[in-house]
Amino acid sequence: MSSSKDDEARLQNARETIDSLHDLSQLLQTGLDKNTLSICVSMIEQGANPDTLAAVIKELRRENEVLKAQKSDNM
Amino acid sequence: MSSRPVSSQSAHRPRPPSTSSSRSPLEQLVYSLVPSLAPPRSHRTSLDVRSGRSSVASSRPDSRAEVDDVTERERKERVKELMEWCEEIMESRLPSSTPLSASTLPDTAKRILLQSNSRIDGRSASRQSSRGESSSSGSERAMRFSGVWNKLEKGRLLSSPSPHLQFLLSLSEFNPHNVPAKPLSTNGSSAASSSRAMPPPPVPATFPSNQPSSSRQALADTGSTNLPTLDFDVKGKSKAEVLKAWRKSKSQKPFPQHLLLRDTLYLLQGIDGRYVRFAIRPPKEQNPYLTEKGRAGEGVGFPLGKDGAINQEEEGEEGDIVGIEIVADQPKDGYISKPTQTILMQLSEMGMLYRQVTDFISSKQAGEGKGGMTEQSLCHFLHHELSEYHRLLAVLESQMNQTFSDDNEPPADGAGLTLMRLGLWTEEMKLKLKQMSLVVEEAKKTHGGALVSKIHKHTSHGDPLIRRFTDQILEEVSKPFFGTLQKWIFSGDLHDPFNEFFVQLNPETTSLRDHGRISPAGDVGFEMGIDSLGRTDEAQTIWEKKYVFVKGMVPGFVSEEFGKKIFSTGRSLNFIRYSCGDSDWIETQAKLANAGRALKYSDLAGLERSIDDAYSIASQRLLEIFFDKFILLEHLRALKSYLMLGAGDFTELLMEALAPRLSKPAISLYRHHLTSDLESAIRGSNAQFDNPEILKRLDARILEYSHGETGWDCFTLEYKVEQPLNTILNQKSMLDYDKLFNHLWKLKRVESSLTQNWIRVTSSSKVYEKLPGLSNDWHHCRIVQSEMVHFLRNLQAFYQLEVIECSWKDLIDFTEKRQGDLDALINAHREYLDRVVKKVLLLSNKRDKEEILLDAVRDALDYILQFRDATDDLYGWSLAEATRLDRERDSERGLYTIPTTDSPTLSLNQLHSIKQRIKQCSNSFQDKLISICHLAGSHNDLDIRFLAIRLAWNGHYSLRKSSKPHGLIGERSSARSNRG
Repeated sequence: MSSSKDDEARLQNARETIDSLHDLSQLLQTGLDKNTLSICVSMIEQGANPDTLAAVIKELRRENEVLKAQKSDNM
Repeated sequence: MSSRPVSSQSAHRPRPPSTSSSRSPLEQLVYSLVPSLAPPRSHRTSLDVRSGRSSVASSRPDSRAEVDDVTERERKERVKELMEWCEEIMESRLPSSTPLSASTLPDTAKRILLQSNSRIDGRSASRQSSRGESSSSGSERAMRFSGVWNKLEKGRLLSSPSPHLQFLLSLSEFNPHNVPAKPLSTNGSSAASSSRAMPPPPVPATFPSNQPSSSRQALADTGSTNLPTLDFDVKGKSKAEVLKAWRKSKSQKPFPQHLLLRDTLYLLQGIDGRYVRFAIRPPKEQNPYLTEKGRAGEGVGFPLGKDGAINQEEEGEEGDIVGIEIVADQPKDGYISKPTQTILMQLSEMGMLYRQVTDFISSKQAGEGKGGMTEQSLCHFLHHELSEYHRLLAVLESQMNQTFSDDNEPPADGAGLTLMRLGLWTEEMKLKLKQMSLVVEEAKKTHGGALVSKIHKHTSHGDPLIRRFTDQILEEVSKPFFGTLQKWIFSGDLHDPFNEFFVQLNPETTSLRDHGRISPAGDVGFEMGIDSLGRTDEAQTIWEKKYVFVKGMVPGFVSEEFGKKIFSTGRSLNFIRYSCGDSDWIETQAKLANAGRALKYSDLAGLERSIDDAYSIASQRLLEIFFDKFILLEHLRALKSYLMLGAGDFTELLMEALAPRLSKPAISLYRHHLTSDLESAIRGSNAQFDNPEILKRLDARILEYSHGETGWDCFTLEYKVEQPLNTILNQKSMLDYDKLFNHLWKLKRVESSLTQNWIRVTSSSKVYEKLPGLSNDWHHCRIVQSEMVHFLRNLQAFYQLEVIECSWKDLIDFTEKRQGDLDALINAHREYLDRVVKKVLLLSNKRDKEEILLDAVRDALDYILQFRDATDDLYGWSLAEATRLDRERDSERGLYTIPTTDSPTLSLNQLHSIKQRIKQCSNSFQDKLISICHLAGSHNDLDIRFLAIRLAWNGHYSLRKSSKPHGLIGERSSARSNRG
């Protein structure tokens, strides 16, 4: 019971943290949604280098643009 | 650098399997960000929802129900590719440029937010509003940020919030590093605001690949005048790349470097390039800079400012050209970035300097200006240096050709030529060129020794390179100077065709000498005086005025005192050679040649030594010549003994011989009589043993006389001096000697006549003592007479012993030392003579009253002469009276006598007038004597004050003066005579 309570508290805590990080992200206008942000946060928590991760995000965004463009071209 | 990726890898790698989801977070990320690649929905996603990643599922677009196998495979391949790419980025990370500590990170974020105020608002407002965020001001955002940040920091869940913040910051739109990646902003209509919004345009954008990173840094520093650069960099994209991309977006290519380089090499040679050229020549009148520069260019201290002006101008011109190219050949030629322009500008300064130097050389070679050997050697040196410069340029050009020989492809780092390297490799040459142009500027204004000293000033420059270079210049430039110097101090020749030496021929001298030579030849008559005077003038000028010392031309490394020494050395040698006709000249020269080595600028100590040697040898030699060959000392002694009446026997004889002639009117004097008397005086005295060389110079002369003067007034003894000697015994000195002789001669004459008078009075005292009523008068006469004798004796003793002999001793002391040069000797003699003249003539320092004492003495002497005449008369009268009385007695005794014609009353009248005269004379004399004592007693010369004490040693005169008013003296003496 206690463990589940702990879990719940932790979950609550994590949610709060993610929320505040999301706030920050919006403040800084990073353009990340909450889902992506949580993935990134977990990755950084696991030791990923923030700088490189940012680079990856940028790359992926560009890729997305390219794909979109292709799609629009195809259409 | 390599350690960190490894560690992060190791930290990163083992984790993914441990996550709850089977999909790696990276894959999730891919799906999340590139929704088109997301796989068709699966039930597994529902698990994720529960594990805190619920939004993943919801945000994922609905997959198609029917999956095309082909597209699915394609998609998977694509995803795999993307994943690999992403992993590669994660692993092979670029060097981290975020050495930020956790503490500064929030500050940075805040700063960014604050700065974001103006520039983001406009363009991203729409995006923000869609997310429910109002486009609030930067400060508001910053405040909110700090609130959230505090909350995060307090939360215990995250191990550390800073990496997250760093991550977010890197992605932040406010981060200036991120902006350029986006299309150019459109909000800033004015150029200034847009340029501010733009990223700092880093220099290497044009040539990023082969710039060493350090130089890139330095350039970015110099080139950017923009926003404060942030300390951290966006990974993966350097500023250069960012700028390149931006340029690309503006479809601007970097200007081909090889073309620029080629042009730069032209510029370095002072030639206009194809794309970049000097803007000095064409618009002479229109360009406002030019006229300004023309004015500023004349100033001494603004060479740098001038450069700046030219550069500015050039920049403008350069900019024009680039602009035209962009219009016409934009795709082809491309854009020259501003920092590159700056480099070009800096490099082209050298071209300008080069032009200045070459212009100078060519103008000198074309024969403009004054020419001169210093300039010639300067030009030679500049030629040499410029050929060095050309060599350097050739090397650079070959480098450039090598670099761009194949496909204009810049080679790997560390090889080939770039603008930066060009700047670096020519740095030293640039300094040299600058120095050269400085020297050239100076050479335009000055020449010869002045130029050398101007250059010498630069040798105390702080930069050792420049110092050394200046030394080299000086070494070369001073060569002609030392050549001239060598000739001057070792042979006394002035070989200076361009008037560059600090010793120069006096332009007045030649005319003076010609004049001196011609005029006596024209009207030389029996009067030798004019001739001798003329020659005196000439020789005097040879030493004093033949050469002049030009202070401004003394080089800086020679002190003025030293320069004077050099001047004197050469002058002495020149004098020995031309004026003294020294037969031992060769010997001297041999000595000097031993003393002199090759003189160089680099051996200043040796220079000083050899000049010192040469100076002492030459001066010694000259003094020796004067003392030994020209027996200067004998001459001086002769002057002392004959003109200053030091030789008593000679003077006495001369006086005796001449006295009868000189008492006659001057008109009856003949020179041959005087000379024969002089001859006999010499024969009769010790003077006959003197050097005939000296005796033949003695001559008796009659001065110009006016009517009524006796021989005494116009007789003078002359001593003739000629060529080398009259350097010392110049005209002025001889005039002084004349003055001295006249005064002393008069004194002597008065003395001798007084002596004769005394003899007569004393020897015939038996005769007149018998006369009744005269003994008192005679007594008075004797008293006054002895007073006069006392006065004369003391005056003479003072002159001879205290003045002449003392001064003579000083002169002898000096000559025995034999130090210094001819100038020192001249000065010593001058000093000696001045002292004698001043004391013999009893000159005082007071203006207008210089001769007041002398006049008093002369008056006293005149009174003595009058008194003597009066006494003679009295004597004659007494004799006549005695004869008459004798005769009366004879007739009483009955002897026959010649009857007297004079009546006693007449003779009594005569007696009365004689007595009156005597009284008057003695009174006047005594008055004069009192005033002489008074004047001499208050004289500023101590010796003359002693003379006053001698004259009135027992206070007789001062007593008489204080006790008796002026008028009473006469009464007293008359009373005394009456009493007797």
